[in-house]
Amino acid sequence: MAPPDQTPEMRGQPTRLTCPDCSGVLSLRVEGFKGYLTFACRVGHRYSVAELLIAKEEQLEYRLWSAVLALDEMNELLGDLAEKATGQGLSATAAQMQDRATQAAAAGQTIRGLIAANRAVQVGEEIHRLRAAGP
Amino acid sequence: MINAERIARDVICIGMSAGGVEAIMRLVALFPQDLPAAVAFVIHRSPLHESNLPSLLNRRSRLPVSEPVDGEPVARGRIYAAPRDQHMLVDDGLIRLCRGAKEHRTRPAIDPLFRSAAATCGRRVVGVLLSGAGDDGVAGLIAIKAAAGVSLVQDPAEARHPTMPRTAIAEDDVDAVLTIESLARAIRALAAGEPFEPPARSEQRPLPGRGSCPGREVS
Repeated sequence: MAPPDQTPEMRGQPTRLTCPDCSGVLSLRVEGFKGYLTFACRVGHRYSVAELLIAKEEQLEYRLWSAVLALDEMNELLGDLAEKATGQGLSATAAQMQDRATQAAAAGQTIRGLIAANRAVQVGEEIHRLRAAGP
Repeated sequence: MINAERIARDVICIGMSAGGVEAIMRLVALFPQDLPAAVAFVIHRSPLHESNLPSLLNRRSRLPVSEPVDGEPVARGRIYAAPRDQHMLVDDGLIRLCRGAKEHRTRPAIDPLFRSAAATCGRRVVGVLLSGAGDDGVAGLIAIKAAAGVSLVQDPAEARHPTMPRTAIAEDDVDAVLTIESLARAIRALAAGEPFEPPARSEQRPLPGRGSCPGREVS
């Protein structure tokens, strides 16, 4: 038996936002006569406004840590290479590499600071007064 | 008055999250042995662990409780619990399980059950949201209402985690806000195609969340 189709009909207003779970385009949908706001992507991931906020916060943190990782790795790699270059008398190359390693280490610290300073909004019940229409 | 039209509402779909175990334990214990309806429920759960909830419920319920297999026919007098890591849908008289896209960041989620029941069973459906945090189930209840079904929520004052019922009240035109005991009586009446008169307002405390929807009475 074929699996049932869970894909949403593509009604709703396409946004410029992407789905945190698959990177597809998200559409904004207005449900019911009170105007409950939900987001749905092409393959069927769905979010309330609050859930999308949480997912985007997690996505942001993941990507910031990815940047920290890239910078930490660059620092380590360049540091090792600079050491080898020094040992082999390639002093100009060694100096360049050490400069870039130091830069990467500093950038990593900056982004760690950003992660530590980020504060998600506290989602309370007032979020349900948000409507599609109005200012 | 709910169901003045005397339609037999024999597909009962129930959703819950945090605090839902206690709520569903109390609710199923109040279902009569001859309940002329199929009951399907989703509780948010870990995708990794089997649950002892069906066996706990079987000790209290007069109706058999089980996690269905894909393609099992929907039968009256049975209670279906959504298995781990799959959405549970009602489709053309069958229970369908699918590992589809997560909704509300969870699977099983309540909305797919409610939406599929609304699409295939229309006004035979009663949607019920019990205790829970978060927003799953609200869009599903709206879909059930749009298909001429009935939507009921647990009284937030009674629910251990009131957010889900409160959100439903704020966002949907729910037919009644009821305690577990009244929910059991309502489900019994609706399944039998009888009207149900919600208890007098005095039983119900003020409903948080109603301030955001002027002009709507929850009766």
